[in-house]
Order: sequence, then C-alpha cells, then structure tokens
Amino acid sequence: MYRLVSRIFNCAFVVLGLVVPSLQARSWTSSDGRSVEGDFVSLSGDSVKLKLTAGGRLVELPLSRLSEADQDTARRLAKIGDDTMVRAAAQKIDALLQQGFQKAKVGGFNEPVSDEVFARRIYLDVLGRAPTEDEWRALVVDTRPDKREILIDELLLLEGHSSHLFNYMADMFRFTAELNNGFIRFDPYFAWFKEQIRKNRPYDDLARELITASGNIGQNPATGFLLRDAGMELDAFANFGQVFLGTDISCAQCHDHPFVDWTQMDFFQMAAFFGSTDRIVDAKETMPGAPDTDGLADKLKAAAQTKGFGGYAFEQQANFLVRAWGWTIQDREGMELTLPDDFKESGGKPGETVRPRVLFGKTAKMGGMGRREALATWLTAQDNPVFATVIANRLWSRAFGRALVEPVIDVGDLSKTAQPEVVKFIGSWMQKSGYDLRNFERSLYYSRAYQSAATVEEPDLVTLYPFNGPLLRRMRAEQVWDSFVTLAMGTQADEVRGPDGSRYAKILNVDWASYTMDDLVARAEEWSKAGGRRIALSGGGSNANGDMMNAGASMMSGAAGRGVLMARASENEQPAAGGSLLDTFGQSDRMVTDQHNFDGSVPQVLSLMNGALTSSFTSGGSPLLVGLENFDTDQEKATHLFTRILCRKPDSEELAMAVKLMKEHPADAVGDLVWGLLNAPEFLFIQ
Amino acid sequence: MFPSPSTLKDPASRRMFIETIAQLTLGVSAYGLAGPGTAQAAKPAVGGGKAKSLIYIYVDGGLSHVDSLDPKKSKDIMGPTTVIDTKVDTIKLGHYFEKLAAQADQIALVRSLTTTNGAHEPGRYIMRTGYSQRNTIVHPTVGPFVTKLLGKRGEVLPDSVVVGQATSNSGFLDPSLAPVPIADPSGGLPNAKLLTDADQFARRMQIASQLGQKFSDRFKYARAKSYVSYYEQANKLLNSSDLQVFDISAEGDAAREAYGSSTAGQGCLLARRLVEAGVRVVEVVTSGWDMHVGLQEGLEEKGPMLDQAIAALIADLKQRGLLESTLIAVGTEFGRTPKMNVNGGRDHHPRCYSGLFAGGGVAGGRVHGETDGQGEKVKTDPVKPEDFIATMGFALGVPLDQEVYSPSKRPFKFGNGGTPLADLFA
Repeated sequence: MYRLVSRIFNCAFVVLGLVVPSLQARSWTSSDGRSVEGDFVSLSGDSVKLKLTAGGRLVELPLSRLSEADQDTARRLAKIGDDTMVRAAAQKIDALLQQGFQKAKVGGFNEPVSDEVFARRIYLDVLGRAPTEDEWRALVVDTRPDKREILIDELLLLEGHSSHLFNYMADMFRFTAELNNGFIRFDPYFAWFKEQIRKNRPYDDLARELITASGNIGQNPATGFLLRDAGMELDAFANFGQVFLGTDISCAQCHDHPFVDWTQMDFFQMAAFFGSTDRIVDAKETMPGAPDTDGLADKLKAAAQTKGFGGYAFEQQANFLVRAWGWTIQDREGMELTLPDDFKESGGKPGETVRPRVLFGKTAKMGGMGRREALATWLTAQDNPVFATVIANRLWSRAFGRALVEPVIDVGDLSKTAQPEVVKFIGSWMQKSGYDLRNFERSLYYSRAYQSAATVEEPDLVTLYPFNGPLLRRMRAEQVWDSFVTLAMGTQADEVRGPDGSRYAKILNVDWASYTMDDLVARAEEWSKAGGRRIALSGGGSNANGDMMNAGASMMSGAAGRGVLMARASENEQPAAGGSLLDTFGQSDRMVTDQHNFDGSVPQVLSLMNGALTSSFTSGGSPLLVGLENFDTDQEKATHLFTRILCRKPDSEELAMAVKLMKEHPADAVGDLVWGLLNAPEFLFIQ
Repeated sequence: MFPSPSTLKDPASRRMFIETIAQLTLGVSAYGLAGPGTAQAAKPAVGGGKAKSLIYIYVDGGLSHVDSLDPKKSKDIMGPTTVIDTKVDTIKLGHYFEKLAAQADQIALVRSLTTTNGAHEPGRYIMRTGYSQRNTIVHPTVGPFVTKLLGKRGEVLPDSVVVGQATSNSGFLDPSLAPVPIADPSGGLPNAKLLTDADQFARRMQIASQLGQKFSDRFKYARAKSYVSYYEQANKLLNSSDLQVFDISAEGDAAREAYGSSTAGQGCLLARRLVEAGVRVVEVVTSGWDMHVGLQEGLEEKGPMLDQAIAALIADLKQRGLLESTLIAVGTEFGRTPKMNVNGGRDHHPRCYSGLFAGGGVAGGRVHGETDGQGEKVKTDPVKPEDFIATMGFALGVPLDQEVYSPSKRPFKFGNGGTPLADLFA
C-alpha cells in the first residue's frame, strides 16, 4: 500500500555522505606564527591532539605551543566537541537552500544580520532570554572573526539552554505537574528530563527510555511519559504518532483517515505495541511482593495509631499515597489490545485481539524483545528516517520561526515544503550526528541562512517559504517571562532552581522485595505531614527568597504573582497558573501537543501597561534605574536604557524624543522611558 | 433592495438594516452581494434573526451525552447516573442536571450531533469555527466572524469576549476583531488600573507608540500589527466607564451565588453583564470534562456546577427581558462512550453527542434528532458541527451564504455551508 510517509522513506538518505569537499579545515597557528591545517581531536591536560588535513596524521603538541586564540579554541572544542561535522552540515544546509532558491525564484539569502541584532537573537534562541546589556555589548565589541561561533558554543553549554529546550519539550510532551487532584506529581520526571537535556542525551536513546520505562514515578521517573496519559491509552498513542512519527493519526482512532490512507485498523495495530502495557490506575497486582493495596491504607492507619499519630488528615493522605505507589507502568503477560465495540472499518471485528504491526517501513522484529523495546528499536533504526526528520524539522522551526515541513506533527508529505532536499538532509544529519541535539542546533545557528536578517514581509501560509532568512517571531511566553526575570535579576536568573521532586520521589521509591511496614509508615508520615503539597514534598531547588537572590530579585519577587517563583519558567509549576503572565502570553495548557499560542491580546498589553512587573520596573528602586545617576548626560542615560531593554541604540529621532522628555519632565522621564520601551511591541519580538 | 430606515419601526429591524449597510460599507464580500440572487442572503429565514447576542458555553473535554442531555434506559449504559424527569414530559435528563430539568420548557436539545473528530483539538476547532483544522489557514471563531458579517457594534467594548481561556485570535480576519480573553471571570479584566495619572499615562503611550510605529513599519507581519490594535483597544477601554462591565463584584452576593462560584457560573454571570452592555458574542469555556478516569467523581463535581450556571443564566436573562434577544448555546467536541471503561470513565465518542440551545427565538421544550437505544449512534436527523454553528448564525441574522475572503483569496462562509436547525425556532 502506498503511503505518504513512505515518500521520505523512498528517498532514504542517499545524502549520507556529509563531508563537503569545499569545507575549509581549521587552521592552527603556533605561538611563533607558523600554521597547519587540521581537525581538533582532544585536549587532555596540557596536550592537544590534532588530525592534520595533509596525510591525516595525528599529532600531539603542548597547548602552549598554540597562539592564545587557538588555545581558547582548543579549550572550547574540548568542552563542546569538535565542530568539523557541524560546520560541514551548516555549509551543506546553505548550499542546498541556495539550490532551492532557484526554483522558488529567490535571489539569495537576506543580507547578513548585524551583530547588534544577532546578539539578541542568539541569546533568545539558545538561552531562551534576551541578553543583559553586558552580554550584548561583549559580542558587539568582540573583534575575533569567529566570535559568533564562539558565542554559540558557549551558550549551548549553559544551564539557560537546557531550561529553554525543556520549555519546548514541555509543550511537545505536554508536561503537567499533577494529575488526579495532585496526588500524582510529575516533578521527578521533569527533573530527570532536565538532566537528560543538560547532559545532551542522544535523542534516540531518550525516546527509547521514555517508551520502555516501567515502574512508578519515584522508582523510574522516565515513566512520566506514559503515566501522563494513564486511562486514555488511545489518545496517548495519537500523541505518540504526532511527537515521534510526525504523523497525525488521531483521525484513524475512530475511522479510516479521510486524507491519508491510514485505516482504523492500522491505528490499532500500531497502538498494539502498547497493548500489553498496563497504566495502572487503581490496581492490586502492581507491586509484586507488596501487600494488597486495598488493605494497605488501613494497615498504615492502624500502625500510625499505635505510634500516636493518625486522624482524618492522615487517613486521607495514606489513601492518596497508596494510590500513588500503585500508579505504575508495567507490561503484563496475556494482556492484549482489543478492537472497540464500535469498530466499524474493514480489517477486524469489534472485540478482536489486535496484533502489533508498524504503519510503514520495515517490519518491527520482536526477536525476544518486549513489544515496547521492539517498537523503540524500529522507531530509532537507521533505516527509519522519519523519526530523525521529525525532531530535526522541529528544531529547525524553533530557529527559523517556521518548520521546513508544516505542520510539525505531520511531516510525511514532501510536497509541502519549498526545500525538500534540505528536509532529507537534516534527517540524515540528525542520524549521522548520533541524534546529538546540541550539535544539530549548533549547525543551524552556524549557517548563513540563520545568520541572515529576518525577512521583513510576512510570507503567507499558502506559498511555501524558501527560507532566505529567519522570520520575525513573537517570543514564546517563557522567553517573555525569562527575559523579564533577567531584567530584574541579571544572569543569576539562569541559576535559580525550582523544586526537583526528590523528596516526593524518595517516598514513592519503595523496593517491594524488601520493604518493612515501619518503613512504609515512616514514608506515610512524611507524606502526610507535607499534606501532599508541592514545595514541602519536592525537595531540592534553591529558595527564591533565599540568599542566592540579589536585591533586584527580592524587590521583584512580590511582582511575580501569586504562586509564581521569581525564577525561570522551567523552574515554575508546569504549566504556570491561570492568569499568570506565562498563561497570559500563551504558554501551552499542555492538553495537546504544541499548544503554545503566539497571538497578542488586550489582557497581554494591559499586563505590560499596568501590571505589577511594569510597576516595579518603572518606579523607584527599579533594577533598571539603578546606577543611572553614573551617566553624565541625558543622551547617555537614554542610550543605556535602550540597550538595556531593547538591545539596540536609539536612532537620532528616538534619542531626541528621550532627551526632550528628560528636559520637560525630569522627575518622571526615566520611568516613563522604561515604560515606553517595555510597551513598544518590539520588546516581544525576535528579529 | 433594502427597506428605507423610516419604515422600520421596531429596533430589531432597524438594527438589521444598519448592519446590512455596515456589511456593504465594510466591503464584506461585495462580490457576493453584487451577483444576482444574493440579496436574500442578508434576509434571515422565518424564525431566525431574533437574537441580538449569543452566549456560547463550551464544555471543553467532551461532555458525556448519556450522563447529561441524552440519558438511556439501560442501567448498564448509565453507570453511576440515574435518569430524571423534567418539566417537559418527553424530555429526560441525567440526574446531575436537575435545575435544568426544572427549566426544560425553556431549552431545545440537539441529540444528534455527530462528527468524525475523535481527538480534542480538531474537535474543539470545528465546534468553535465550523471548519476542519488545516495547517494553511486559521479560521475565525464565531465572535470575530459575526462581527465581520454584521459590522462592528461597540465603540469601546469589544464585540466578542471569551471567558475561561487566556488567549484568543481572529483567525484570518483582522486582529482587531479577536475576542478579548478573560482567563478568570472573577478577576474580570486584570490590570485595568493605571499606574499613573492620566497625563503621565498619555505621555507614556506617546513614547510607546512612537517606538512601536517604527517597528511595525519595518516588519509587515500580522502579529506585529496586531499589537498596535490591542494597545488602541486597551487605551480606549481604560478611558471608559464601560470598563466596569467586566467587574462581576458589582453584582450582589445573591446574584453571584445564584450562578455558583465555578468558572462556568461566574463566567455566565459575566457573560450576562457583557451582553447587557452590548457585547455581541461571549464564549464561556468550562474545562475538565475529559473524564477517562473516575467519571462519577468528575460528574459529581462538575455536573451540578454546569447545571446551575446554565439554569441561572436562563432565569436571569428571562427576568431581565433579555432571553428573547440572547441565544444561549451549549456545545462540546464529542460525546463519551456509552460503555464505561475499566477505569470507571468513558472515552471519546464522536459518533454522537448532544448540545443545547435556549433563548434568542428558540422554542423551548423541543428536541432535534435522536440516538439509538444504546446511545451509540445517531438514529434520526444527524447534525454536523457546521449545522450547529450555522444555527447560531441563523438566530443572529447572519447572512449564511455570504462569502468572506481570506488574505489568500479563499472564500469562507459562516457555518461553512451548514444547515441551521430552523425547526428549533418559534
């Protein structure tokens, strides 16, 4: 049967060869001025290893033999990895795009973006927030020829980058902090997920662990992926399709797909890979060796009473805890997916057992593996380009403001892109990189395409965009919030950690092979004393009101809003509370994949006009006004505020306006100017 | 082609006349109107056109039809829900809806809704726009589309408001038509108090708009432009006494209690205030209805809240003489499986589901369509989401045949060619 996704398949990566002949090898200069060409291999102690371009010979030399600039290069590459493949990929992307321009009748890339604009853009794209004035200036005044690549590499290694990518994944995987009245908390899963991003876990590996994890969320936090949809397995599978297969099969859940030839039977056969996986809601047999859960809560209550505590609150919490212990992912022998009573399409009858079968590509071999392992193996196999293309296309859309193939949840049809060769290439590059998301991102930011000025005229949705430059983008809600937090706290904002769920996880992580009743009672006591509350139970994190915070932050913490930490969005509740700034600016409600909303609204502008944050920024003691008296002239003050808030200098007209304001209203002018800069929609956009 | 204004004695016809003119002056589908046989497009069929406003209560997540508006005899199907009698002999409801049962003579049920969308987002999308979700276009929701076709009504107040969600958009229409989102009805329109006196505020706005102008001149993007319009709208509102319409604390405790303290209840109260002040379309979104697990607990919590909200809204509008001119609609993305699942919940069931209309010219005590005895599928008079949306337009006097063009020059109609359920109207 012909399928759309197979279009990607049929072109299965003929372009695997990544080495572009024209790629210039890195030139290394010694301290006495001689130079050689070669790739960086490693740095251990004071010894640098290079692979020479001529002859491919490995040479080892003391770091001090290199020029100072090249010593820095060696140190940087030692931290983030060699960039030969990355530069080759960036060049290939540029070359393929240019080929596509001919067909799209585009002259070429937009003009190169200025350092001033690039600095703000790259901080927002990599760190997820606007740069501080110092950070912005550092790039602008830097004279090194490869200063942009150096900055990209440095930013990709910072905590802010993990935070920003986490926000994107949180939307994609629909992270919600709690289920079922809050007794199931996902904090351990989020902490684990952040750690995977932080250590740049290969994406295929990450997906495999998410798909195959078993246990409860304390025993194995990766189970959060499947526990998220406990009780709605078929919807979960539709989401799985969108996230990993780049295939919107949700229609086929109830009937044959109207546009693509997925049948309802296809859907169920694919879903059957999870058919023997139980997402237990209230079960007795989830914990081999454990007492019957029905009686367990009573036993805990009785044991607690003999120790002199208990009461109604304890009993209630004990019930919750027992259910939380039992909330597990587990494969069960003999459990099968059956067709629903209203199954009406061909291929099966209601009530029939469904055997697993993949939607496209080569058959998934079971080979003694569990079904979920078999699915993960098939999904991440080298001969399945779809999985790699989906995540590559998503990361592309983050960098350029539009995906190569839209929508990102349905990438199968290559007729929906102006750059089919680029689509194929980025899939192969993702695989070739070893699913190294950081190196993949790095290659996008290195490209001439990305380092072009933003396209000034919005392309419509019908004409396929050839990507002669990034689009103008409104910031994500998290970028808006994180930029505000940074305005208040400076770079320390990147370091404040929210609760990580470690205490919660510990209470849930019972080894049922060797538990004792006393141990269980102690856990129940700790749980009930915290009343199941998030902060109390979570553990970890740095207190937002503690000594880590500087004056700006503590001044601002009251302005953050009820229940919101003066910390980055990733460290706050997932998703943030309704009515919070994050919510108002469109943070996803995490009900379905990719629900972030980028539209403006009256409440948004009201929050910028009259909200508590703006009030703190424009009134006395504002972190933005601190030190303003050190500037001699009104011109300097105004220029400082422009660069601080918008990351650019005022033009002559704007400067004249600001200076006039300071003359006419000396008492209010700086506060008014700050207000005006925050309320210029320019602040909300990434150029 | 049009009656002269002097012959129009009653305000409704006069309004309609003015709105028809507005359609012309706004240039809405001049193409459609110019052609032969299109003049009647603006003339509503018998029974429709009585509603001046619409309150659309959207039950987000999928309202179980058998537990609410379409109960069945079988105990197996009904699970934890019992069937109750209502003021109208022929109408039975699920027992969570007893206040509505007492007002059954005011409501018209649609029991034969059916869709092919089994997932939330596409289901929600079509039930609020009348169109299937596509990635090449964003269709407008009911509010902006009505304004586009009938002309803008308010000078200061927005023509449409959506309560219970933080964001909104106008689809392919001008961003100035986007409903104003009110996330929390009790909070009203947040941040509506100026930080400074009016003079200083005006100065600040001047600075911001000078900076903003340069930016939107440079980047020709709808979103960049939209912010200019949101600042204009906000500025107008802040300087107007209409602002207090958003503040439900101005209602007495008795009124607030009558609606209940839920988002649905307070949202309906806010909707009534807005409609009374001239807002044309208010959507009230109530979330948390996706009851795959623990349906009984879920319904025990949510059911009476929704019941109270709708019942109070009907009674309040009636008492104020606004029920005839206000259409109430209740919709959801799909029904839920008549067979309970192993988790004591019900899963998605797009094959049949239920909705409701009241007021706005709708005759109470009527039922459109029916499902089979199992609540599995539609037996008579199937209703598509497009028909449901078209019915709203019919009540409001929206010309359903009139085409509106997207920026990419594609034609769209309110309700996407759906057939209004004219049999529900008096």
